[in-house]
Amino acid sequence: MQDDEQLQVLLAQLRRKSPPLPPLVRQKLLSRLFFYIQQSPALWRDDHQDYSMALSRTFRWVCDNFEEFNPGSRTVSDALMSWVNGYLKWRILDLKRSQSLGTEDDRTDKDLRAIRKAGLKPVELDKPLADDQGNQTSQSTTVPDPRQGEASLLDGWIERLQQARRHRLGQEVRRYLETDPDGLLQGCSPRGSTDCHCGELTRRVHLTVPPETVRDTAAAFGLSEQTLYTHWRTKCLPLLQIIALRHDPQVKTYAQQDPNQQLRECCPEGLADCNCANLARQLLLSEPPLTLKALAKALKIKESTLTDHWQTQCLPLLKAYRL
Amino acid sequence: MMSLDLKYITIPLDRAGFEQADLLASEQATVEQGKRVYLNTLAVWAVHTYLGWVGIESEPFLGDSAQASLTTVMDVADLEVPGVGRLECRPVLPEAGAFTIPLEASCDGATPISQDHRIGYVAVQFHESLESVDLIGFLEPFPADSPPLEPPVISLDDLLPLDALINALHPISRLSQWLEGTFDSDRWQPTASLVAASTRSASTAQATGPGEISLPFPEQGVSQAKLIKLGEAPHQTVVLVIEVTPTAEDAQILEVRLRLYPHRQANHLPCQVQIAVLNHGGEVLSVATTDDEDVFTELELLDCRPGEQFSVCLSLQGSSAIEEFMV
Repeated sequence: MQDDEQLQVLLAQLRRKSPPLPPLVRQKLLSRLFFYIQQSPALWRDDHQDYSMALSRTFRWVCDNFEEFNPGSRTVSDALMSWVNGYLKWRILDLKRSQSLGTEDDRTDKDLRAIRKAGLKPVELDKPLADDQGNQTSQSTTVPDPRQGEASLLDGWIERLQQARRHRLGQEVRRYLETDPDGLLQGCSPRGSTDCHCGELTRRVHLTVPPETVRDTAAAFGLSEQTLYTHWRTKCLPLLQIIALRHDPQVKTYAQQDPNQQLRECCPEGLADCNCANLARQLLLSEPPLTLKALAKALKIKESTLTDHWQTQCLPLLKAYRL
Repeated sequence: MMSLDLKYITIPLDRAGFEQADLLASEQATVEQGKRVYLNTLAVWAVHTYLGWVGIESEPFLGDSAQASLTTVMDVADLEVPGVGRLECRPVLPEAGAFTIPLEASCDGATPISQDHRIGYVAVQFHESLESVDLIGFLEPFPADSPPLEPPVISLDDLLPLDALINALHPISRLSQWLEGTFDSDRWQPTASLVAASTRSASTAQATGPGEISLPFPEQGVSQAKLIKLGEAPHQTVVLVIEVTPTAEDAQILEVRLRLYPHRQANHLPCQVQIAVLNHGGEVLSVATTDDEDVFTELELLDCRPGEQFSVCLSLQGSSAIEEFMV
């Protein structure tokens, strides 16, 4: 790959105008070009914490502007690395000056904004943490950041991230699944196998570490693996998702407000009552909670039709609340 | 350069990915679950970064893996590629020779929960240092008629090269499947529905000359056609016909004939249409350009072997269309 002649062939292909280079081929060639650049000892490196952002930005720029590359009279590899480094160094300079890559259309900045829009307050690592007894400890001195070093530091890091949250969605959902206070899980079982309800399957498959195999669970209930799998897949998993979403304040607020009216406008043909706003209200906000089965009965439609609409149309709309 | 397989590509992990991983992991009930979600998130972010490098849009916030609540009940690392589908980006632990795909991420297309369907799996190798990960290979989706009933364990030796990931994001017509009677009917149609019989027979006579016999629709093979618009004027729409025939010596080796016909209303092809066949590396294998009054034009590919890929590029006065094929 380091061979200048091979690189020249690759670059000539990428620069060709006629016949046009198919996008699929261009993307494969670009991947090889990026591999070459990454391996090159001439690639500019910097110890700035956001160097990887600057490098990604540079690669995206190479992808968009490759036609402008002109090797001139130098060797192709020298010219390429000089062209790439030129842009990369400016981006690192941007970072050092302003701690940001700047422009509004930058993808990384857009991603960061979307993460922060999640409303989940980021853990601030330089602030002391208070435990339940009010004792304060400094995170930065007790927990090395794994992104600066070894993956083995991850357990301690995550433990501290979790301690910094008073209320964790995961704990609340787990508590609900363990206690099944509304009987939602217990009430959902394959016909003729009431013992094999979603509560029991959740305990065996979801809450036990390591999880029980489908084969062992099916044998325990005298069911075929296929029957058990289908029940888990089509009944229990959608139910678990609904339970999890019922604990998510942001999704619930979005469902309630439906700011773009997308939820209320989305319904199967001829089934206006089955619009996503109504389904979200009934499934995520109602107390006591309604099951898909009960809701299908109330709306006088088949449970499979309702589940399909909920899963394929409503959930994607709800998940887009952060965009 | 394309002849070399791209074994892996290294993706430096960035602040955006770490912030998202921190947020989602911090919501989990246990450290073990937090670690699972952390690595899943970084794996998704790495694939999102890579796709961005090569100009493919992906939407990391639309997957189940980006929903704090859903990650508490599902072990998923999905990444939405708008207009294409969802990729599953599975973390591979340092030094591991295999990885497991959870059942919730290995959905077959046959269950009613079709939105869970994955277009494929990207293996993301982690190292002791979290500075970067390597994308090391791709796995195609499980067949809809035999979904895994237990979480499948995938050996790294069974992974396809990374190019297969790029393939999965583009519509590729698989010619060996045509011979088995499986067509992508959204994109291809029976030839007779698009090309007038009179045009076909005229082209046969023109192609073979007097006294020779040639069948435009091979006895043992198949033929499919597609309308291609190369401009707004009606005569700038042409029909691309692909005929596939297994060779007598080895049924897996195919002969492919590409023909370009005028659309129904027109008697001739537009002048200066270029049809080019490119190999998987973009090199031109064969090219033809239409002249005045051409009723059809044709290119042939002999000795096409299983797994080989080629592209067909049609262009006319700045407009172009590209079709991808795999034998």
